[in-house]
Amino acid sequence: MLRYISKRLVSLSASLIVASILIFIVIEIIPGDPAAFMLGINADPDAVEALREQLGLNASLTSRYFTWVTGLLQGEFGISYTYRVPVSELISDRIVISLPLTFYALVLSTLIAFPAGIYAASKRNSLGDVSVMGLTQLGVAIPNFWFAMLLVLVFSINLRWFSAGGFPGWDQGFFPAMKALTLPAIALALPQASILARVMRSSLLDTLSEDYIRTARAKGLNRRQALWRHALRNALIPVLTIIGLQFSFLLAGGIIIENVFYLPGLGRLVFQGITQRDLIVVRSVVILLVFAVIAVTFLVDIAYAIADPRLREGSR
Amino acid sequence: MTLLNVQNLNLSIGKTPILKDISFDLEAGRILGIVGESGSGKSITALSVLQLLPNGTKWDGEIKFDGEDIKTLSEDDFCHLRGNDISMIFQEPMTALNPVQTIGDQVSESIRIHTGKSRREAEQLARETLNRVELPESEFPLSRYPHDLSGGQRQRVMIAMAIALQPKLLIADEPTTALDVTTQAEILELLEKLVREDGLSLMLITHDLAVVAQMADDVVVMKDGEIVEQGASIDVFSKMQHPYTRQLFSASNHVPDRAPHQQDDNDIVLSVEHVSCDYKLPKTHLFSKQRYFRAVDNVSFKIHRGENVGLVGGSGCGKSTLSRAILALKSLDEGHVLINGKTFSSSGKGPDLSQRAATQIVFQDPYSSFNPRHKVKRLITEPFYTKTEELTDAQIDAAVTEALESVGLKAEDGDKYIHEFSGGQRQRIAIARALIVKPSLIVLDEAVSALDVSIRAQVLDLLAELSDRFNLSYLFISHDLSVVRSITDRVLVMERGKIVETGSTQDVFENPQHAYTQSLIRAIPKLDIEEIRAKEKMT
Amino acid sequence: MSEQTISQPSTLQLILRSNGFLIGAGLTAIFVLAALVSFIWTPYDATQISISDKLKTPSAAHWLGTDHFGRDMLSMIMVGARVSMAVAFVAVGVGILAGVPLGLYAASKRGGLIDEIIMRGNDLIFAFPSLLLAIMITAVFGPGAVNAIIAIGIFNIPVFARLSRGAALSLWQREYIMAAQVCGKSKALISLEHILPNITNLLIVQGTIQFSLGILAEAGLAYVGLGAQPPLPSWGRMLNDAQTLISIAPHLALVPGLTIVLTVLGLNLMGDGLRDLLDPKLRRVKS
Repeated sequence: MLRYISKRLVSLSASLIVASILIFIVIEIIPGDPAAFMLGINADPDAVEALREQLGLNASLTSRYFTWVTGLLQGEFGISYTYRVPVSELISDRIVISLPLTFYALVLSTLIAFPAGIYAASKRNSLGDVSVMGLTQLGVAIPNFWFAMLLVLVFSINLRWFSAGGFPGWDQGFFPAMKALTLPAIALALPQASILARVMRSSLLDTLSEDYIRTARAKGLNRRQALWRHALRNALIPVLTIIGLQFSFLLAGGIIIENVFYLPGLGRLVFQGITQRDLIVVRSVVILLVFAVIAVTFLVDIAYAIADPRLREGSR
Repeated sequence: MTLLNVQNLNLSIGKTPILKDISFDLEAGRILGIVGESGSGKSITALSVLQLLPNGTKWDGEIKFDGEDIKTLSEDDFCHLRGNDISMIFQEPMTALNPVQTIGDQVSESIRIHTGKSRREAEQLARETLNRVELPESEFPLSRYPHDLSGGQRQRVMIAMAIALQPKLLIADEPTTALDVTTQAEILELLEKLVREDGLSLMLITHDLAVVAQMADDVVVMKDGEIVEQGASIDVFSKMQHPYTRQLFSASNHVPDRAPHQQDDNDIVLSVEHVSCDYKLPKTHLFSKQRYFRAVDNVSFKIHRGENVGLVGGSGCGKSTLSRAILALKSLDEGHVLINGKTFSSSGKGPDLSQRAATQIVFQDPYSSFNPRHKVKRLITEPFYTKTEELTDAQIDAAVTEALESVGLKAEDGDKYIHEFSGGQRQRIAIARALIVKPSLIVLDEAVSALDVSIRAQVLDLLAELSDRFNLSYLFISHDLSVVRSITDRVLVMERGKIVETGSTQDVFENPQHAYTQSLIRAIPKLDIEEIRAKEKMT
Repeated sequence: MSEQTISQPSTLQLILRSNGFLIGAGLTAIFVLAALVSFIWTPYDATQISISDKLKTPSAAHWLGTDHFGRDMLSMIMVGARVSMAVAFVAVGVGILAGVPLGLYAASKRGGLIDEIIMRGNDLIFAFPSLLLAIMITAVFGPGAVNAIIAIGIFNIPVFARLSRGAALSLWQREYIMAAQVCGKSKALISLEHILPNITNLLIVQGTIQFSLGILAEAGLAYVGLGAQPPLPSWGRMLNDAQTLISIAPHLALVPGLTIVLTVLGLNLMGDGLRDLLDPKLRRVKS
């Protein structure tokens, strides 16, 4: 188990390092000089040069990369070119919206998908199965930002149950904040839940046709018992992978959904960063999100090992 | 007392009839062998007793278990019966156990759902049962998972699950078909011992007449969903009233006619010199040294022109790796392989492509041996790729016709797709593919193992005839020793990567020297009427 | 135990299956046709602004109504279909052309260094939240249809590489592949002659799925302003325009939204249908 985990840890850290290099390079080739941008079109070239020096833009690529990475390791992301405040401050303000939103959506998606998938698989080919699968087919086809607009139209504008956007802040209390995140989370979660339910169903159907299910039935378990005791745990193994991937989808999807609901999250920060050539903000947010995805991948790997003894004892 | 009584069972899946008018009895405490080739309906007969039938199955007739008509039982009643009064063991031990549960949980589960025993009591009984199937606690604690058990050990766990509650009827569906011959003998012995000790009835389903002859008190012979003959083993095997039974029997013991092999000691087709092959082992940790597993260890032997050499050994002994190495599908880590006296491949060097055509291969599985998208003509002319000279269309057509006709097919078959042929025909096509470049040596890698006995007998005849006609040499790799015995001149016995014994087939089988060879030969199920009679007299 | 796995599809299922494929193919055909027709004819000029006609609900003159600039929605949808489909189609093409050779190559060198590099590279792309990278790419190279294609196409590469590697690995175990090796054929030739034809079914099915995902992704990029640029209409930007007007003119949001849903639904149904039609053969080959 330890060996497996350390192996995954090494491999994921390697991914993280390569990712950071890639992000750094991509951001470096963004056209436009941030110093010139900050000072406006008619700025004095000397002033621009001074600002470049001050921002550390004149150092060599490698030394800038290492300055950036060592800063990251100490939790210092640098100073935003446009806001003139530490990026870490900007990010910590925004991340308390984006991350809870992602997890909220992930929980919703799982809570909807598991029962739906298990129900459909256990009632295979029945009317219930066909209806659930038809709904998920529809769910997969709906763009989440459009679904978000429909939710606003129905629940905010017509029914007035929720506000159409904005975020009161966590200091206004847990429930008002969660309420503000509810519509965005639903909009994010439903299409993903559809995918997850379909994966759950097909994975369960696959395991239900395995030989060991027949063994379980020959022992005297009825269909239900065979499903719950033997099929489910085996079926979860591929489902875990999808849940891991969904985290990444939800995190990225959140960037767009935040726009629909005017939530001041990381997504809006990134967009502002891009339009204002605020490279430090952009690359800090991106590396942070990549880090979050890799961390979740690691958690999924551990969950794998718990679910599957073959991995746990691995290459013994 | 009749434990199981099946009367006029007819069964169909969808619109396909599977079983026709099946009637038989199983007396308490006896062993009933149901024997037949694939598609005979023997497995589905067993599943219908347990009522674990595929969706869309319909049946009529009467099945009485312990005097009770099973049609009157509800699904709940049946769940109570399964695993409690009737248990079953399946063919594939590798997939029949739940990979994410410990063996202890899996054995005690059957105990707990039927008896309401506490977890501790159930585990204790599970422990005792595992001990009975010779999986001692020191090596096989309840907390072990199935994935690092061997096939034979997993099958023992299956048996433990089945007998834990001392059922009245045990059904074993090809319980040893997936296992090595020595493991098969051990498992069958264990089954017989447990059945006799507990006074169970056993329904043993198999394609292997010899296994039935050794174990069963009564026999049912099935063909195409019908029973062709049944009765006490001794009667069935000594009288063999139905022609199909006789056919099965003679096919199982079939020895093809062969001209005596004239050996020219200087005409050597294949020479394997000090060949070793390694496989990488998974690293224990990131920076550990790469370790290797030596699958073939310093093997040397020769095959003469026209000689048929058998290569036998249990699974994992390295015989497949050796065959791949001879064909240069796997690179050699040490040694040389010479074909017709010229170096074909040696360690550190790729194969000499100009000699590719001299060795060809026929594989085990007639279904995955061909690209399903090509016509037979294209399939069997593939080895021409080894030839450097261009052939005219007429030459190719002539070669196709010759190859197909020499394996008993027609020239027109070249325009068909492979899925239009049966398993036996496909194996003929595989032989035609090997023959077409007129090789000196054909490696037959379990080439008849997947075939039913009657088809197998025909293919063996064909192989013998071709060897005589073209003075072909074979390297005949098989786990089935009786087949090796019937067709080879000389035999090599392999164990853990080494050749432990070699000699003429007759000498090795009649007077094995090495302990491993002895255990292999002792384990072969024998189909000998005299022995069955003798056994019957003893009991 | 082939007998065990025979299971008869219920009539309900059969009807739904074949109908699903027909409905899917029909929907797809409608939108492909709309995109093609838009090159030669649209009811109105899709970029023609006519303030006097703004925010009309669907009528005989404007079947799907008009937007806040009085442009004809049907014409915009037709031209938008062109952009959506072209972006998604080319992105799938990029994925197949780059991913399949990589996957086949990795499979033929199983366990080697190159296999490892290709697969780790794939993992790396998967570790980036897909939309995020697309946003970065369009931010670097500027918004536009071509950059949207690149951004979406990059994510199709590992999808096809993984799929073809996995399928090829199982085919490499087949005996007919070994027979071809015994005939002296090189790994590249075997990949081309024996492996590629036997995985095309899988590629077609996955291709339809990625195509529909591409349409969704393009809509998302266009919605945040990183897709095709004005005056060229696009479904995603139509939704963005509709957002502020949703309470007074819901049809502005409903029309393009439903268009996307129906297109994606059609493609997915067609993909599932294709899988059912092609897979039994594939499965028979395997067994």
